[in-house]
Amino acid sequence: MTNPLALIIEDDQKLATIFAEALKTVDFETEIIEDGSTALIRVAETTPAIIVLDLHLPNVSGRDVLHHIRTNSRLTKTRVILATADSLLAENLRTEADLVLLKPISFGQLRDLAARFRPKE
Amino acid sequence: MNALGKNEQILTSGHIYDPEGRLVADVYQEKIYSLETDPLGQRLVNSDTTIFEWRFGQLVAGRAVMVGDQRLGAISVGLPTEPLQAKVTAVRNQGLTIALATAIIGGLLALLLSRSITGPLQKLVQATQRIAKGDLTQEIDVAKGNNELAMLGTAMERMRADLYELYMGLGQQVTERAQALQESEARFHHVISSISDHIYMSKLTKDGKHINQYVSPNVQPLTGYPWETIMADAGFWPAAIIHPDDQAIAADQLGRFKRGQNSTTEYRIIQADGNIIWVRDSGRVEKDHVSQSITIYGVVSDITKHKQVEETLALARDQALKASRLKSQLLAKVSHELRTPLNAILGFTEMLEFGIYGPLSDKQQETTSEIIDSAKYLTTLVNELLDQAQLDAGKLTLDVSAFAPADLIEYVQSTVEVLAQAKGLTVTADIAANVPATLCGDPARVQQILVNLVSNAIKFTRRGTVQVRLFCPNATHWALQVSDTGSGIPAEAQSSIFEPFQQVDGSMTREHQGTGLGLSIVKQLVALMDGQITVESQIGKGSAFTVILPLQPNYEETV
Repeated sequence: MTNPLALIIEDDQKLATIFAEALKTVDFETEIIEDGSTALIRVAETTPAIIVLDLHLPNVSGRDVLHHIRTNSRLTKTRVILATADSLLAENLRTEADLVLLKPISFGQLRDLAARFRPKE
Repeated sequence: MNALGKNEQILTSGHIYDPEGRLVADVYQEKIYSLETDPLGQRLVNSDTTIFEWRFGQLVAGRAVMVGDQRLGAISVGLPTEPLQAKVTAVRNQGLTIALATAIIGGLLALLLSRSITGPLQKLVQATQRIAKGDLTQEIDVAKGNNELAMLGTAMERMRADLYELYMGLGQQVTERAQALQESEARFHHVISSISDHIYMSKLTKDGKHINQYVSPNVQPLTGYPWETIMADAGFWPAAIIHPDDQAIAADQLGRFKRGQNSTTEYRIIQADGNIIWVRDSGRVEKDHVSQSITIYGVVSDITKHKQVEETLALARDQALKASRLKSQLLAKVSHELRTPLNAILGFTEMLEFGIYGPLSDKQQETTSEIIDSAKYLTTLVNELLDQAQLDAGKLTLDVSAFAPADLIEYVQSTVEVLAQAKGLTVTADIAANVPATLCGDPARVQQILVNLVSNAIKFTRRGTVQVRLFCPNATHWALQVSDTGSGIPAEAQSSIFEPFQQVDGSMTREHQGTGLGLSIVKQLVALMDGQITVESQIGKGSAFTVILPLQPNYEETV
């Protein structure tokens, strides 16, 4: 039995590590992606249960990545957690994401929320 | 004959002629010596009528003596002219006397008549002419009596007197009016010249002509052009007076006047000496529907100083706005940039605390907790700064959705639990029965307000309880109230605590750290939600903050 996949799309390595650790504690398989273009490739190839998405990404913006996820019919069950420091941008994308978290995002907070999004077996 | 001639001497001559016209007998001669025919005798014999002739100073009358058809001769008598002349003279003298008497009597009569009729009539005529010429001063004294002329004269005199009285009265009135008018005009001029504005009255005729009807003298100091030049101009102004860049503005205003609209506009004019000033031209139009003309009553004021002040103010305002915008941008940027490292500190410390890297000793546990508390506090500060920056920039918007008051209370209690426990305080919460199970609003911002108020209450209360109450004060509003048993807020400070960077006193600030923006942000958020916040407090007894928010009328539909 493999754990559900969580994609952590975040260009800040430290935050990516924290997010990954939080998700691992609630039994997610985690993969860290540090730029937008790689994110698009991985989103097209995989079916993650959760995507933690930063909005400020190199190459392709988080916004465009979000748009790709939302227009991909295979990913209708994928929960998207926006992680951003830009509250204004977050407001605008609130309807497209499942959850918007304003940085700083607490380890415990992310862990608890991710646990709720974990697909039931 | 003899008898006639001699005795009476009535006749001066008496002649008898034979049928041939020869004198045969003469009253005054015994003998006739002439045998020749007398021409008169011949004519008399041959005439059928009596012949009268003046002969030798006498009137001779003679005729033929006829018996049947036979002419027997002729007779003539002479009448002396003296008695006749005497008679004539007598008759003439008599006639002259009569004529003279008649003339005298006539003259007297005429005089009498002229006295009684012509004179008065003449007087009346003269009086009428005088009146016609406007002279009402002379009395009409025609005649006394009971005749028509006298009556006419009396009537005319009465009329004249009335007219004169009326005229004098009118004259008085006219004089008074003229005086009043003069005074009014003088006052008007005084007023007009004492104000620096230029006042005009212009007429736009149906065929597009422009006539300046009044131009106040102030136009000269205003424009530098002589009054006469402006007055005589076929437009409001000579075209060259309006600044080239503002010609369109002035033309637009004229267009509005022509359409019968009032208009106030501002443009620059170039004074005669080349100096440029700003004026405000404010005109009110009156349309004459009969002549289809438009009269404009306008005031032109020099607003150069206003403009300069305005420009200075606008510049200052622009600079201030720019500075404020920069400040907001800086705050947003700073707080944004602070979040990422803050997130790393918080995240890694939490990882440690959670035991990801192995179990911690008590001291290590305590230390990580301190780090987490500080990081969270720093997060609050950053959030407040960002909120304030967004409020300043008008960028903070509400995200309205339905939420349950119970969830709100639960979230707040869980958030402040640790803080309250650390101070040994109890936080109680109560939701009144009249509060709907679902409310509508921005749940995140309502949470923020409540957390802020409760955190404050905990901060300023040393012992006792902090109470949270939700209730509906009326049918259209709901309220959240946070009361504590803390130190209380002095009355004089109650109005200023909602101002940014205000705390009751410096010692409090030192003791209870913070940006000083908390309550200010709360108040701004409440205002953004069309609500209001009030505070009641008594020193030593505690404070109660009440936030009243409108109930969204469609809250049930949005569930």
